[in-house]
Amino acid sequence: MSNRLPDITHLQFLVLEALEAAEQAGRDLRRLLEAHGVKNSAPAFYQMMSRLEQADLVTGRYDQKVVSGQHVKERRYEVTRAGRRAVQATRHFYRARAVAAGRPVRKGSHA
Amino acid sequence: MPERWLRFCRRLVPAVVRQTTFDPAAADLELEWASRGAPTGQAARFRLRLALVAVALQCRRLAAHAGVSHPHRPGADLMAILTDLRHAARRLRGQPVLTLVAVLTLALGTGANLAVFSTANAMLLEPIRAPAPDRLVRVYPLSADGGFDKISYPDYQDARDGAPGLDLAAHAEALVEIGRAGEGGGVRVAELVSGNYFRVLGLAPEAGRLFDVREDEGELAHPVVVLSETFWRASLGAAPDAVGRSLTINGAAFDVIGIAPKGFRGTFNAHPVDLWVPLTMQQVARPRGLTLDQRGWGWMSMIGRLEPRTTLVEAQRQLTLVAADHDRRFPQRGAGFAFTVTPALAATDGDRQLLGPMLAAVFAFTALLLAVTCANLGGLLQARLGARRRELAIRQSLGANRRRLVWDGTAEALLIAGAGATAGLLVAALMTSLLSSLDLPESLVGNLTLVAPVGWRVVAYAAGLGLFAALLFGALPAWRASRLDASGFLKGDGTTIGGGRRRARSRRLMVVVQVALSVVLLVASGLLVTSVGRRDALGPGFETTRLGLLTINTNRQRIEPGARRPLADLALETIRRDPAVTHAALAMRAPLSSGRDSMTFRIPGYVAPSGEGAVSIDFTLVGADYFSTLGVPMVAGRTWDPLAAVRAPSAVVNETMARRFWPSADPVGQSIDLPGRGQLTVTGVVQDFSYYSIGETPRPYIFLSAETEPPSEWVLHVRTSGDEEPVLARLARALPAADARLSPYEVIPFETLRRAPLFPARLLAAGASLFGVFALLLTAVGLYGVVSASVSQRTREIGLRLALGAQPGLVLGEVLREAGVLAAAGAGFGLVGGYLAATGLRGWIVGVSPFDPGVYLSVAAALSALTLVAAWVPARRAAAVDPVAALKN
Repeated sequence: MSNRLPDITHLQFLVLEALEAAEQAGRDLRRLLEAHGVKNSAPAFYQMMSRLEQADLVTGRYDQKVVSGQHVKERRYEVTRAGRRAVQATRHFYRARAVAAGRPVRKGSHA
Repeated sequence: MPERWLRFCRRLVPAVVRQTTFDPAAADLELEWASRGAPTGQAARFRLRLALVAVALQCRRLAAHAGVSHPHRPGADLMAILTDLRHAARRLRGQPVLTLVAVLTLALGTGANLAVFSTANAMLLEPIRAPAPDRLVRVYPLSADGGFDKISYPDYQDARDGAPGLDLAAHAEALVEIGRAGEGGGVRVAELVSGNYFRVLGLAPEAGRLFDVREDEGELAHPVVVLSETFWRASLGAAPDAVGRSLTINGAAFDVIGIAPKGFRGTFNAHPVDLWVPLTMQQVARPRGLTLDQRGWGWMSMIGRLEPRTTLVEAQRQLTLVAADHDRRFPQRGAGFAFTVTPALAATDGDRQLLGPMLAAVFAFTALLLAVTCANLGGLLQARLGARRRELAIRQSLGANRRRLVWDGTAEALLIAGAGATAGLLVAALMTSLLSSLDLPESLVGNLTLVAPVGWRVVAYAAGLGLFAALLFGALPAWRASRLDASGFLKGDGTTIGGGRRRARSRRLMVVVQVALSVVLLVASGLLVTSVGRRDALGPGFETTRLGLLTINTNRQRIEPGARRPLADLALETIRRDPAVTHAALAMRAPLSSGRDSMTFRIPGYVAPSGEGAVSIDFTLVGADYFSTLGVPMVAGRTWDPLAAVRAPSAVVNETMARRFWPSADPVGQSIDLPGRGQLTVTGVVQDFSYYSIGETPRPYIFLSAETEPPSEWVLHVRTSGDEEPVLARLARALPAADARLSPYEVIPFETLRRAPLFPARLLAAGASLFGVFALLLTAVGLYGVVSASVSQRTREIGLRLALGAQPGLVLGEVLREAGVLAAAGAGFGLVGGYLAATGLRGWIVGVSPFDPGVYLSVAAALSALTLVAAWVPARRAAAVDPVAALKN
């Protein structure tokens, strides 16, 4: 399992990992990505989230919020079991790579 | 959150991604918006961002469909589009001159079209600046010939009270003189309005209060005024204490009671209003010596708001009942009183009738020019794609899909179109500001102001034009280029291309189209220019130089009817005292000025073909010296004796009238009945001359003696021995010095008036000529391109023929013939189109036949010369081909 390439991108990994801890609003996730130097426009970000939903890695729902006396809808996301598995698989993959990188490479072998 | 806008933007997005992508993105914007406390001043920015979200999502979807998206990398699809655009931009940058010419050509083509569109939009299509403008209507009484008429105050009251489904207000325009220095001064546009006017429009005051129905009670009882925000700011320095101040209007003191809301300049779009006065003050603001209760004296327009649940049809029905009731009550005014209701736009229907045809004609010219531009660019891009065929074939054989190749070809066109349309907006803004600064003759447009701000409709139109142009000259050739047999093409040597003949044919077709459209424009402009020239040379029938006009309004100057006669004599005496004045006379109206007066006369012994004894004939009041001042000869009899005319009313008629009513008798000495005002004796017949426009069909005309009844407005005609302008300036000072009341409000040389009626035709002719010449130059470039490409393609063949003994002259002639055939084919279509265009322009082409051989021959000659010039260079190149070099290659 650990030798297979991860199915998700770094960006998706970041998002899913953040969602592993707790359900989050799209807006907060965008802030988190910004903290990692990823500046995605709202359409680009939600298109990515839409793809994650389609791949059944996250589920989304709307939540009502009152801001300055106005009712505003907000999309919140939760990681699914498949999402958690994808995060785990990615972690395993990179851990295995790190371990492999730590061993001395034998003469004549191709790493 | 603007709900309607949100719904609109949501609809722009593909349904499948609305909920998962658009909604959360919009909610994010909304949250950001709400957390800022939603400042309304930034609403436009917010809407723009929302629209951008929708457009970005749509682009992503289109990109995914076109096969340029990357499934695992969000944003890659957009990146692919951007990459293609970047490549296209790089290719265009590689040929800067060509790109610049293409962009500038398109900028001029779209700019001219946009300028006319934005003017037409501002003048004719904008709604009134008031809440719920779609519920506002204009109501007109219909004149006997079905035109829009004005209404009298009592008739307006009947309409207002008889149509419960309509809140109806009345208004009229007037030019007023603002007194005292420091208050703005000068002549300003005022609107006389009924008390409910502002309520009907749904406006709230910027300061103070607006009129209410109290202002309708009692004539001359409410000397109050509401100022426009612009006037308040410009003339009173936005003084906070303006409300309550006094303002002198036409010599009377008015109290300022309020300031109208910002941006509101009245309901005559073309005539921005400075101040509003109650209708009940019309005797001061619009002195005509008449009272409000006079029925039948139509001078006002009406504007109304449909009550909730009332439709236009229902309002029309109610007003038809009012008209029927009117006919019953006033049978002596003749049957057939009728109203018509039209949705209200900022331009009045009269202005739209006046400007609509001219703008439509200019718009058609600019559309033709744009079509020539597109055809030209189409040819150009096709040639560029032709040069890239090898690259396209390689990409296709390496697996690029066809949609991607089409998009690649379109990207260049999109960039050129985008840059062209943006530059076109600048050109349009420049052209409209130039048009606004034109000093339009008052006789043509009254105090019309051309306003053409570039609004969202204009920008949307520009975007539409750009997209249309890009699709026409970009996507279509790209689509054709992508239908390429790559392996066949790559197997060959790349110069003998399958489909090359077809491509050359389509380029030739584009040139034929360009020639045809240019010829249409040239024929139209030729006919217009000839018509203007002939009308200019024609003249009105008398010498127009060394003639000046000074106008005095007796009502404005508070001259009582009893004092008119002695003051008129004093004015003429003062004028004649000037040594440079040879003749002077008084008249009610100057020839070729706007306005028309007609009266019903009865001519003993004459029965009209309709069986009626009375006939309506145009007339004016003039002094006895009028004809000698103008220099129009009498063909029979003489003019009246000024002293005798006071006792025995006399008249002079024109030749057309004499021929029409007394074909076999001597008109001199005949009598004419003026119903209710006695009998006139004809003392002479004067030669026909133009009264309304130069080149008009002569119509019967009567000149009545001004000595019998001096009119309320005097136009003093002055014939001078030398240049009239210094004399007029002298007289403008001498008259008030003789009597303060003899202060002229308009002093103009007659030449100004003579040139005015030709102004629209002149403008149209200038526009058509400019566009025609431009189109012809573009066509020459197109023609050059096609012939040049053809010569390059045939270099080997020509070389072979020369090697076998063909004469260079023969080759030269053949290339020239090729260009000649293209030009002749285009000219054939163009001449037919030109004839059709001329028939459409018949109203503008006076004194010239739509098939004027001179014009058609000149166009043909110009086209031939241009064809020769455009084809000469490639033809020379073909004749000079070195057979050895051509065959070696």
